[in-house]
Amino acid sequence: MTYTILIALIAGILSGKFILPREMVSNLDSISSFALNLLILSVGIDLGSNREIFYNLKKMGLRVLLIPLSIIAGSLIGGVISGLIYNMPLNLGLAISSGFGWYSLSGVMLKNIAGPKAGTIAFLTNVFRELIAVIAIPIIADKLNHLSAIAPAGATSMDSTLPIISEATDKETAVISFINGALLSALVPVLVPLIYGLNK
Amino acid sequence: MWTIIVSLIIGMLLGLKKAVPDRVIKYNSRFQQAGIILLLFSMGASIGANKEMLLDLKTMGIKALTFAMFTTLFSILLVYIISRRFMEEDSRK
Repeated sequence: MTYTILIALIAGILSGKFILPREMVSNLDSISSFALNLLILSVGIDLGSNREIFYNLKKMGLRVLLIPLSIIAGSLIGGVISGLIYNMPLNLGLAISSGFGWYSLSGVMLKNIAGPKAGTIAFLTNVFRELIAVIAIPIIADKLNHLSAIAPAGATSMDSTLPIISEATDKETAVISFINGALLSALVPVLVPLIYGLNK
Repeated sequence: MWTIIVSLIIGMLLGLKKAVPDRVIKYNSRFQQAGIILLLFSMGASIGANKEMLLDLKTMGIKALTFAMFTTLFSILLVYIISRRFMEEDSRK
């Protein structure tokens, strides 16, 4: 899937530059905002069908919610600092950081609501975040503690980085990792547009 | 902007209420992949059609790397502090 994503993006760049006429690109834009809503609907169905999350949450206790909450707070702090470094509007910096590593979705969402430049930065930010996570998870699990190993993964801790977390930690942490990823994934489509709309 | 949030809520309710038949759910992840590919292609096309954006790609990459490092760093820091403070028995080494 990672390769497919890269190929789709590069094919898009090449056809935007060499093949597609201007009007086609803007037509593609209107199709894509409709496609985005359909995509989010489908993501919602997936998340809603994961009923075992509620069961696991009950079993583990609400205390595990501290993990996603800390990740949200940490990501937003990181977003404010990075935004300040590059003199970006606060809402944009925060919206980029609320992708929580889900690069495909946060990239296309910000592209639709904030333009291609914001979308590209969000996409790359979250690609890098996932790459950092893959490298950092085993090290953190070893040097800090198991729960902290979930932190770099963000929303990906329920799917793409879950095998790495479960390998580096233990069964219980893997369950918490899944709950964390599901909650953050559900929040990405809510927080990105809400936060971006803050000072508009 | 609100249409995104409304789409998500409708989707989650459909999933929770099991309103979508299993044979349709089976195609859900395929559908998502197709959607993402289309949307990323379209994002690529807007980048490609815009000379300024293409020249800016390196700067955007550096900005993105900064965002990725700071968001990851502070997430780890906060989870570490909070787990040490409130979830000690869960966070054995």
